[in-house]
Amino acid sequence: MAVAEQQTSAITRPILAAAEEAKGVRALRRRFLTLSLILLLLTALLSGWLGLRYVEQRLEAEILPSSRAIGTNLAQQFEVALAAGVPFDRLVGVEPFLATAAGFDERVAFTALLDPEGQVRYAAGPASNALPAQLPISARSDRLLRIGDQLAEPQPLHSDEQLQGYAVVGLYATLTVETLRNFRLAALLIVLALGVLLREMLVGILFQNLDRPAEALSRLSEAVEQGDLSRTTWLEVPGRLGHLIDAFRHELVAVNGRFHAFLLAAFATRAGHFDPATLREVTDVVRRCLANYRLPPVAGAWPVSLSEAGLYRLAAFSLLLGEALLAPSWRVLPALAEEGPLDAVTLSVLPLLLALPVGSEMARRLLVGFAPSLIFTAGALIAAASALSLVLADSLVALVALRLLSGVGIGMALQPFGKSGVLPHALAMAFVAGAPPGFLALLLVGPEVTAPVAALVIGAAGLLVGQMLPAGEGAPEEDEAVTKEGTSWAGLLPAAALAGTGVLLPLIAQLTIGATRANVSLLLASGLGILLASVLAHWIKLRPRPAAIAAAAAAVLLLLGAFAWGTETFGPLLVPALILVVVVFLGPRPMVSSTPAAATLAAAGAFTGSLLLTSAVGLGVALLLPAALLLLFALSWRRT
Amino acid sequence: MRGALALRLTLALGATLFLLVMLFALALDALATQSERDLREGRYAYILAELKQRVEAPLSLGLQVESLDYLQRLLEREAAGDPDILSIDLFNSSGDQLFTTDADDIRSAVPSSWLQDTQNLPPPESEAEGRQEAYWLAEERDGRVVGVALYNDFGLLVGGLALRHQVTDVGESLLDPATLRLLAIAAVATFFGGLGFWWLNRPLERQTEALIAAVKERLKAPEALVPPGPLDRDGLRLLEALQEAERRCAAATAEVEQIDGRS
Repeated sequence: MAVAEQQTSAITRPILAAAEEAKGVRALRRRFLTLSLILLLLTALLSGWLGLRYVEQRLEAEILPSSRAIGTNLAQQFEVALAAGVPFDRLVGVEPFLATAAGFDERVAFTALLDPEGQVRYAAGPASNALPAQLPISARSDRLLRIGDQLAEPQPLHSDEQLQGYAVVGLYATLTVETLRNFRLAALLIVLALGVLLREMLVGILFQNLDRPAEALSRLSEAVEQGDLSRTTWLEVPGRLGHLIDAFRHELVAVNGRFHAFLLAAFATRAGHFDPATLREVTDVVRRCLANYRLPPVAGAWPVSLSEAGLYRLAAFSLLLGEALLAPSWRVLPALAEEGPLDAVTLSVLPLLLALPVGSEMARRLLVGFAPSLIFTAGALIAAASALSLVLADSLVALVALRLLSGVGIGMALQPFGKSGVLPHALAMAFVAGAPPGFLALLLVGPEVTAPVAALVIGAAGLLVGQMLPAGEGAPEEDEAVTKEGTSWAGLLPAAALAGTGVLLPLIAQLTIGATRANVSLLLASGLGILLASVLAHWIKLRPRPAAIAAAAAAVLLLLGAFAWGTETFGPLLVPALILVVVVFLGPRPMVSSTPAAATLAAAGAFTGSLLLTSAVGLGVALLLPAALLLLFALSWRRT
Repeated sequence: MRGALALRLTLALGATLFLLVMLFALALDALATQSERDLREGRYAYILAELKQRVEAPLSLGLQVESLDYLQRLLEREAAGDPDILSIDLFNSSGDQLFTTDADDIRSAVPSSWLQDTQNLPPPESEAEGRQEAYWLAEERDGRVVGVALYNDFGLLVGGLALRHQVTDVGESLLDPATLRLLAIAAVATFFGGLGFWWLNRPLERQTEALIAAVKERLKAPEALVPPGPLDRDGLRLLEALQEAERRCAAATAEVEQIDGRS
């Protein structure tokens, strides 16, 4: 038990220390994110409310002709009876007749026969009991009647050119429960997707413009406090914070210059004197002064190392976002239109998964010495080109070839930061942010538009975000620890579990409930599955206790079970999913090692180091033992 | 540039809110279009049910549908009452077109799928059981079709009625005042977001300004002049560490000069 506590303490101490170190900046960052989330939700609420009112207004234009059409017909029938000589007060069988008309459509709330003063004589229909005895009929041309949530247009009955009464058909003017439910689901998906998208964008901007300068200052202050003047930073940041970094950089140069000037003066003094006592005195002064300081070599100062994790995550997210946008199109791509759903998934997903490690390995072996930014851009452009060509693929062979090429490109692009621990989170976020808009776009415009849009996103990721990546050689600092850890089973199993979760959920749904297509629920299930695993992994990492692991495993299994139960039950799961995203939005950054605590989060790297490989190989295993893998995944965190 | 961070965040927020309201507008437009279509098709189904009654009534007198010339006028009157109705067709059990309101129509028979859909409708005795089964719906190249079956007194299918109507596609009414209103909401939210980001960023900006001044002008006791902010720990620590190094260097230089001067 004591050993376990020591392990816990060893794991959490650096994380807590890092959190304490950047407390001010973290608080500011959190406020920015909170404000943006509040504004997003408020805009969504207001837009949704106003939009629904507008839809109701639009529907009124259709409700009135319906009321008029049915009412006119009723009036004609009554007029036939009146023309036959039956007085208005002696009409018989009116209510069953009205009930027949009221039962024609579920939107009909009531059908009624009124006398010329507007008094209700006969009424039928589900809302007929709530009708007032007298309806406000006016002689104006605008004879619209609004009774509660119902709309009607009274139709006059004439006999011998005398007004005998009115036939009124009231229709429900509010949106149906099903329509509202559909809109709520669509709105939730949109808010969820855009919330994640906004969060990732803001986190990227804040990482580049706030976190990194603050980290640079922190690293420099640590170095200078310890007397190391040989360190500097070449970070370029726009705005006042950039000026501050500049000012400190110049001040460091100035201080170093003064030290060198002092050394020159000391050497000159020594050169001008031959008295051994004076020489010793000068030497003592130099020794005392430099005892606590380390000066830069002649070639110049070394830059302090800064975390690149945020940039890597932004790059991975933007690249995978394109793939996620494209994902709903798989089923309807021309070459797959005639295939079964399982074949469609297999033919579009598996080539990609198989080619990912190939591309990654190719980049690792062939592109030695190239800058990460260049490798990422080249890979992203290959993936963009293959995504763009997808709609032109007229055969399965061409489709599989393009998916393989896409996989090679993505594998290449992700290779520079495959071990930085950012991929699961980026993948999950990309699925949550990309699949719903991709699905909406597919419904509205089809794959011939969504595929180029996805290609555009992937290309933009390569060209724009790729330029933000480090241009120089060298992998992130945490690589060593990660590589070492990545060879162990502890690193491999979580990756298999994650990879399995992503691909497994749609397959389970298709095999067990026979879902006819890879719809948005299934895609979201994949994204949320990975996201949940990622968040839980972070949570377990901080609390490596059996109860926490058991709770996490139970939550994962529960979610799996809920998803596998059927897509119909997915709707209610969106609310907890939304809460989960809010927690991620405001909570700790899972899998991002932007601090010296990266070493303790080495498993995160191992976790993704083998992710790509096990995605392909682990599929078969994951199909057989999903629950066991997820449990092992949770347990392996404890071991690391 | 002052406020560079706030500006970047505002741009990202603005882009996301723009996307949000456009997706909302699309979703609402899809919803409204679908609801309008349902309502309209309900109305057309009612019109067809009325027409069906009028066509079937004379059949019980032993008349043939082909002989009922007034049906052409009846169909034309109904079609003229609604500009969205493209045509109303009456056809026999073989699919031959008997009456139509489509002046441009040159075909003599209705599409086989219409006849198939009509034959698939339940017979009159089971029609009352389900409202949805009383008519059929189908997609057409330039709209949609609603159809009903016509039966004689013996329950035999004698033909059908089909009403073709225009449909509005999702996205056609996207650029209307309602979307502009949603865009205005997004713009206002972005403006407030920008203000909020600027306001939240003020302590950092103020502290950064003061730190820049303190570094450039080599201020003594900077902690008294630099306002509190997010960089309390690192900025001030670095400044103090640099000043301490400079102080030590100056003291050592003075000491060496003193040694040099003394001897």
